[in-house]
Amino acid sequence: MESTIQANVASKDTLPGADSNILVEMLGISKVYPDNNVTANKNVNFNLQRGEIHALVGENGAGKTTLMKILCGLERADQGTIKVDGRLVRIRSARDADRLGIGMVHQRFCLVENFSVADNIVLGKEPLQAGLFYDRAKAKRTVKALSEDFGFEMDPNALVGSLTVGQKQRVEILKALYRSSTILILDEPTSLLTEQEIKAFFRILRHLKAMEYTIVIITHKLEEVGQISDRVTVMREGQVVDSRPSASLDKATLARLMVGKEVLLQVEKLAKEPGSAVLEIRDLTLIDPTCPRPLLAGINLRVRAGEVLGIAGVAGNGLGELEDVLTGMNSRGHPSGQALIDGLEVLGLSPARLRRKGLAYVPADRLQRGSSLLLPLSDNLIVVDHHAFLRFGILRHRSISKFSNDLIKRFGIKGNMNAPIGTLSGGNIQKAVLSRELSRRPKLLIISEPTWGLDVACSEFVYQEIMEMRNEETAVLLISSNLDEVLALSDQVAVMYKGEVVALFPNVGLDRESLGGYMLGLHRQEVKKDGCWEERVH
Amino acid sequence: MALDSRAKSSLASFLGIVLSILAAFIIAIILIFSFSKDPAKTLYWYFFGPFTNPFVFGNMLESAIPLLFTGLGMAVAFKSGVTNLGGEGQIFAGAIMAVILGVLLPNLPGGVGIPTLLLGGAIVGSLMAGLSGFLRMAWGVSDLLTTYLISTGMVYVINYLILGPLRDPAQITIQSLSIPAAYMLPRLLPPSYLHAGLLLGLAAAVFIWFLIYRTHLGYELRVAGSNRQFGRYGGIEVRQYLVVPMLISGALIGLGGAVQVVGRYGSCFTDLTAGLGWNGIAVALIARSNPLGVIPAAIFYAYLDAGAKSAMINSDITYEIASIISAVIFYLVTAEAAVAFIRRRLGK
Repeated sequence: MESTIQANVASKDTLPGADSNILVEMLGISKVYPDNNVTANKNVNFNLQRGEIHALVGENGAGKTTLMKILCGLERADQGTIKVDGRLVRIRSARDADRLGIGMVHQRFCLVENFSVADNIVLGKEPLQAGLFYDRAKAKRTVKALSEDFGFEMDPNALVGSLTVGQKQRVEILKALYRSSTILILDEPTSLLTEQEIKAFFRILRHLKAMEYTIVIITHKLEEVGQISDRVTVMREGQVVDSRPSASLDKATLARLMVGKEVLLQVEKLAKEPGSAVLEIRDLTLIDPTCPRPLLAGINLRVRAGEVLGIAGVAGNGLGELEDVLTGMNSRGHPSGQALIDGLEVLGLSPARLRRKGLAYVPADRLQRGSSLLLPLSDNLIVVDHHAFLRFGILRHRSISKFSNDLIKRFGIKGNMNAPIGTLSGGNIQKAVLSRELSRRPKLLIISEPTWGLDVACSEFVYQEIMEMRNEETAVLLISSNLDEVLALSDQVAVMYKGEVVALFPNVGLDRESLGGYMLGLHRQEVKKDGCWEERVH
Repeated sequence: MALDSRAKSSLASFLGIVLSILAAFIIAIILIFSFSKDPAKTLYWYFFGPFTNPFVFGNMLESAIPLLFTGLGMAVAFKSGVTNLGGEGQIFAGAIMAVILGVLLPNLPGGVGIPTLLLGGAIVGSLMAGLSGFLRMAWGVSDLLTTYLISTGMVYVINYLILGPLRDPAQITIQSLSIPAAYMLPRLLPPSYLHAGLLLGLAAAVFIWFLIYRTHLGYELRVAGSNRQFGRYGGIEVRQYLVVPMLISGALIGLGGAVQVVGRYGSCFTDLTAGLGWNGIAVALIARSNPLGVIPAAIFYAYLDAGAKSAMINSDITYEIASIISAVIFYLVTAEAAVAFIRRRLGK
């Protein structure tokens, strides 16, 4: 299969009059992550023109980052070919990409905080003296010259740890430029920047463009597409939906392309009246002094027994912080306001005390937080209620085995209770986490990104379990960046943007597109400053 | 699929150990062939010497006793995700405490006196390591640093005690006062030095295994040690588990020091630890931090040492060559275990 594609490409290659403006061409790229059987890229075609700024947009998990990682050698495609400058190339490692002038700036910076700017930039490709010693003076000169050429105004002697986020990003870009990359891939470059920093950053991009650099920016901020890019490629569920000049797309069309219009997952939802309030959140604010804006700003929400409140939002808009603060796992900044469970203040309580109040919690980070990968499955299953398996301080092995086997059977977990949970597949780990949390018959379930990385069958199972909890009068707070699942499961839908709740609706007749607009910050519900959410909505 | 990869990975680590032991022995044989004029004889004494008579066999087992305790102490620390590099000081402090108690309380019956001395040693070791745990819990000070620094300082203090106030003027060699003979453990295989401390060490291994794998405390230690965030998430108060495992680890190592006094020496001298604290780390690594695995690991270590001694006495290789051969075998075996340990830590 692969060889035939290559053959075709090769024959086309020899044709005269091929579009010489095309610098990079990716053809028929497919990639499946075998661990959780997720198809990240499915027969993707993508091209880059010389000297353009190309926006690659899509929801979380649409496959943008995977595609770019393939281009810069950090992942290998299962199928497909890549051409650079019309030549077929094989990119097997970051080194290969480096040689082709392809460099990537990751969302999370890879910098040594207590090294200087110059040291960081030359790291791995240091100028040498006598072929042996690090020539720091030369490194500084080179970095200074490079920085001036591109108008970056960087002090090569400054410690990276003392820089602002915007400056660190410039160090990362300089790192790529120092390696003579002419194709720069920037993964969500603006997600951590302030408005002013974004402006400065765009000036840099335009400058680079004027110098004939080719730039890909991966983003899900729609306003940026029009502001900075020449062309845009939209991805959804591992496939390219559209690719065209940015000028020909307005934000609404772009939003529609991004979120798509496919059939929702069907989840059977019984009509029922919710009970009394279980979780009430009042003016919840989280301020981190090192961050320019509040991570959570004045959040008011209420979850009642037997209802699902779904919170939708794009990653980086406060969903993770809300999850951490409500579950006692927050380690960043100072929360203020109130969070009440059954009318009792719980803000700032430890997870241990929250759990005694009837909290069950399925975290987004199920591998590091929701499980301990080296411990056996059974040890993972009993963590919250291990006290129930004690007699005189000794674990009762027989009842632990029975409990574990019951959960394994009931939830269809494929794995041995004595094997480390880390040897299970992603879907089975999630089932294990879910089974543990749901086995507690909780009063309140906080569940975050429940189907992230799971296949369809597994997702459906998770949805059914959540619905069953709701029907048994558990109050469910669902935090998810997946709009489909929020719509399929929720009784009420709230949307968060930049740490605020910008919309709250009963889940009646809502559609993806209008909610997508709120998620991406295109609209917000006008709200009165007083009164509770219901009054605002009605 | 998952089962497949698990089977593969455990097969890989088993093969890894077998291969590294084989490689170690091959290198040892090559070394012996190049340095000995009578390699067959040297080989014989090196690998079979420790079994040739009850005396050397008993002494080999005796030298495994302190390694049982230090190895167990280190295994508890590893299992619980804390770092104890203070074995040397803790074992020394346990030994000197046993001497002090023995000298201060000379007239107890043996059945009371011996446990008192052992308990004293365990408590001192426990407090020393526990202090490092407390410093980490309270102020986030690295336990890797503090265990080492406290231990190193302690060695000098104890050396002073041995050379000064506790020195036995009746002896020609520099050593502390001796504990009453009634406080010495019985010998198991005279004339060898093997003493009842071996049984205590074996019992300690079984007890620690039970503690770690079967009790409430052990469960919480393992959870907190394997992933603190997960422990907190699961409702375990994980902060205390920076201190508790240190207390247990230090107690075991301090107990080891006290056993050296009541079992073997009867007194304390400046070179008593002789690297036992460090070797405990190696033993725990070979045992993959499994308390029951510490038993064969400690005996293996003692066997290599005894083999080197026996080859030195009975054939023509020097102490240096014998040490190098032991070191090569030991490094290769430990390195494999260390790699496996690191791999597990990384969650791969």
